[in-house]
Amino acid sequence: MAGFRSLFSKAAGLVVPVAPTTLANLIDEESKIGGQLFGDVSRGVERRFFLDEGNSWFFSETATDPATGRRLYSFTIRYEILPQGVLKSVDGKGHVFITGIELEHLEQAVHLYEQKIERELYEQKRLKRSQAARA
Amino acid sequence: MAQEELQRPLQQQHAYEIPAWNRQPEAVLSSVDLARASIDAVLESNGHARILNPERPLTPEAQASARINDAHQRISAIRLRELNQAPQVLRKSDFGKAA
Repeated sequence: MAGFRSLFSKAAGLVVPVAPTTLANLIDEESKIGGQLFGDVSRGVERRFFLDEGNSWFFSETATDPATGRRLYSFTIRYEILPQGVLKSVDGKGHVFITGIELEHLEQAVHLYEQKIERELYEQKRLKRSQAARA
Repeated sequence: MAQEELQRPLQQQHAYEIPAWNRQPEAVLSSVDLARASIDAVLESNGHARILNPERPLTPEAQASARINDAHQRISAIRLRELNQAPQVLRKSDFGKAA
């Protein structure tokens, strides 16, 4: 997070702007935590899972060969939450309403996501702020 | 009959003939149901069926969707709270506190 801040005028300025907390920043942080919901990943694999600013969930995975840096595969699954069900598409194609076990798993993941980001992201942020205020 | 009792005050108050919709409420209701079903069918294709027909039981898929949507509201609230609480600037005196 510290690296993300664009600190400047450190020495001379009276006020030091930092990168403002934006919704995009928060979602970026959430997506990393969300990616941990589905277990460990191999070296070179980056997995993200998050709710966007609207009504869609995204699961993305990108694998890169650690030795060569060559991208091995990449895909993104979008789950659009509609009133009549959940519409799934993979890399923008093959739209289908999900049912059964896949829908159950998505719902479980959503609830775990909600708990996990609250506990591991937002509670931590509040704790840091209160500690900083006391110091 | 209750229906006749309902009509009687209307007949007494108004000289004109009782309109058809008041004479045959069952038939009119049936037409309304048909119209509602047609509109629902159209709306359902756009995902808005329950606006007109809230009594219709939701499918398991729609129920799951509604529960996930509830989670969206909670997550949005968490995000909004953080956006409102997070400091946007640091004073020089804050250095070392917020890293």
